[in-house]
Amino acid sequence: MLELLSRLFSPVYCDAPEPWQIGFQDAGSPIAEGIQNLHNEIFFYLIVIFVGVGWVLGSVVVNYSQDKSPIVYKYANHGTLIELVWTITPAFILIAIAFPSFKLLYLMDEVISPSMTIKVVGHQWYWSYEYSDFVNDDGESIEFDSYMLPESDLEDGQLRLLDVDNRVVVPVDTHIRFVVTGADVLHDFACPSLGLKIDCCPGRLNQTSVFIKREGVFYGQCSELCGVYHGFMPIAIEAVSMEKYLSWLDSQG
Amino acid sequence: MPIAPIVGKLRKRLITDLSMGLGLGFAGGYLFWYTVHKPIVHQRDEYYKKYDAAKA
Ligand SMILES: [Cu+2]
Repeated sequence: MLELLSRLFSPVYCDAPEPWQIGFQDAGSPIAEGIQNLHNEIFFYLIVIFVGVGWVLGSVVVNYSQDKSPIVYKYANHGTLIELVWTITPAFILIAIAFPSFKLLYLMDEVISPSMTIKVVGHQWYWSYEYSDFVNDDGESIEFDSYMLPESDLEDGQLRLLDVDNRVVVPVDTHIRFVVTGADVLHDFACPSLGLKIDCCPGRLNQTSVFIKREGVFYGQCSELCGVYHGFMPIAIEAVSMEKYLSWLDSQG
Repeated sequence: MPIAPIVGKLRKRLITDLSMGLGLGFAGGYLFWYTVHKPIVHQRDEYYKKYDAAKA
């Protein structure tokens, strides 16, 4: 019972999916906030349309049934004016939805003067990361693979199918650019709570940027079907303060 | 059997249906906006206010 309650009303910010979750994860970046706000704005229209159409449909069923209206009114078969109304009104609703959507879309596309770049490569079936802005003592850029932790290796508190051996450690409050590609087949680098989702195409580079607003571990999964272990190549992004990030970099040397 | 003239079939219900449909629709929409969306944004803003205060 207590466990159920703690699952329903989790007091900790968990940037990973929760059991029986139907909403969003807590946003960790301005883009994710924008996405969730846009979703709710569109959801507003959705409720209006759902209730409005539902009501009219119900009214037609009740008031124009065989019993109440046995003879069909001849002008009920065709009416130019009403057809114009029900064609043009949805068009305006679509425009009202489209504009904020495009605004966000182009905002997401913008990579604003990134302070650092991380290369992300999707493999069958793990991720590899390269911090080419930083070099170790031998003058090589920092590079590592990130595999999912098998269930037998999990320690208390680690998430099944989500935790990895080497997390992507990044600083908070920094514009970070991800340059992504695939080594073999299509993969997709995604992290819901950061509003990240970008295809990794073999032979092609994609870029996206993220600005993480708070410390935490943000989980995502490969989001393009890439083979049998597609579901077993999670992404774990650990956002830390700048000092911790620098000492982590040091330890990579 | 004589049949009563069929008049005002659309007009009779149109006002009621449109106002009830859209009225309830907007009511539902605003209910969602103020009971679901706003609290989430408020909670988020409060969190960052505290978070930034702790950082500074
Ligand atoms: Cu994959």
